[in-house]
Amino acid sequence: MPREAVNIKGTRQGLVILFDADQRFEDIKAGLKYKMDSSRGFFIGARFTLYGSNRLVPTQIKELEAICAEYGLIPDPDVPWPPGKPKQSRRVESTPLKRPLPGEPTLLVKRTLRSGQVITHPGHITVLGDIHPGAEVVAGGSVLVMGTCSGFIQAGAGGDTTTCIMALTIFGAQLRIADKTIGVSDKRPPGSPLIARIKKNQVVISEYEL
Amino acid sequence: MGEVIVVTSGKGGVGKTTTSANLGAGLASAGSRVCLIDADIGLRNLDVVMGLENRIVYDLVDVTSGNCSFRKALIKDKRFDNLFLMPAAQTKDKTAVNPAQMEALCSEIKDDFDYVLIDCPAGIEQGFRNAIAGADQAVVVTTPEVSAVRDADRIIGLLEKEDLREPKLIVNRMRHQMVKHGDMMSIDDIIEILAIDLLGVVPEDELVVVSTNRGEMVVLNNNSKSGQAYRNIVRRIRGEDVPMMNLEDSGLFDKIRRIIGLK
Repeated sequence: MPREAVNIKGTRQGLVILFDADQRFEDIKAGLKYKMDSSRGFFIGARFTLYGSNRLVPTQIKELEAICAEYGLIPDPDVPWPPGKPKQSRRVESTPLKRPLPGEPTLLVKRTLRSGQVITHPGHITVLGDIHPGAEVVAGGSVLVMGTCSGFIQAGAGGDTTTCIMALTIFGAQLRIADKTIGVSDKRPPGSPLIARIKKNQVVISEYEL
Repeated sequence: MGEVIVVTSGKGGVGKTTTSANLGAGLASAGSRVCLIDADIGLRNLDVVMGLENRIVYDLVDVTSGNCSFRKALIKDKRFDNLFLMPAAQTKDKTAVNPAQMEALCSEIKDDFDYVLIDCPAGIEQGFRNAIAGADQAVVVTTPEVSAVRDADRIIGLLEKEDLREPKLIVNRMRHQMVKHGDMMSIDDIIEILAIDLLGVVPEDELVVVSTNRGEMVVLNNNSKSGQAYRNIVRRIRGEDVPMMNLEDSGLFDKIRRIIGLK
């Protein structure tokens, strides 16, 4: 059986809801709902914070908070976790590095995304492969696809309208930047890479020029 | 120790059961010890396709729930002494078995056989997870239709997630004439979309329907093109390097030219 996607811990200051960010977002959501259902109102009025959400995009965090609010919980980011002294949790790899790195945080995906596969990341995403129809890429920042893009791609998932989506070719895809969406059905003749950006409040695709 | 191969597709009706039965019979006729497992609990068909329906006493659920040993549930085929079937239960559903039980069963069975073929149910739910739990390798069956190829893409992604990397592809019900007229996806189109290795192409053949209804396997019919295609796939599974069959419908003219040695 898969590991539990959601764990709820009680601390003196309130509840800490821990996520396994490696699991599918749908599983996390279902797991959270299940936990809330099986608590039978025990958590009503409790303060809570989400932990492990640094790999989720803002819209997903909002969705999870909304589920908790439905069951009468009150969000409170000040609930400390881990309790007591800040000891290193097992999720060491996601803690930020001490020294500053040049550039911006980007997730590198070195494979083709097939139908039903979802990649989410609060920063930028670079995919070295194709995005097949039915696959989803959701980024808080920009998305760069070194291949053919035919799935659902969202950049600026938190509402950042300055982000962009780039791909070698785009067809049969749905692109969304912040809350603006465009469908791309036609196949362009192969040429230079394409870039989608928000111009005058709508998504515009053009050939990329240096 | 044998190899456990799951035959899967995502979409229903593309020929998983037919493929399982034919590959099983083909491998058995080539001399391997083969066990077929029908993982489609509640909608079992493999026994019907193989003509073994009336021999079922115990089934998969009896074995996984500990009612009998797996050897007791295995049905020996009518034609081959080295081909066995583990039938699915018909009165239960997919939740009657869990992936851990299937994994344990497969690792027990594969000691006795060269090949264990699992006929996976359609869909991506528990039945699929059960079927792939104990598999070492996967064969994805698709037909040259956009919907089937899309589902195959999804299945390949799910197989990768379960560490069944590099599944092999069988394209079933290929109609060369339609491809030639641009009415059907070609093998190259499908390979380009799915980006996996091709194990074989089976042409559309009425004989498949006829033999399936009679509980026979077309792979044993030496005069059919689909049977030849299955035999080639069997040889590839056994490690031989067999070139892809030319599926072009040869007209009378071609036949004459071949006879007089012009081609």
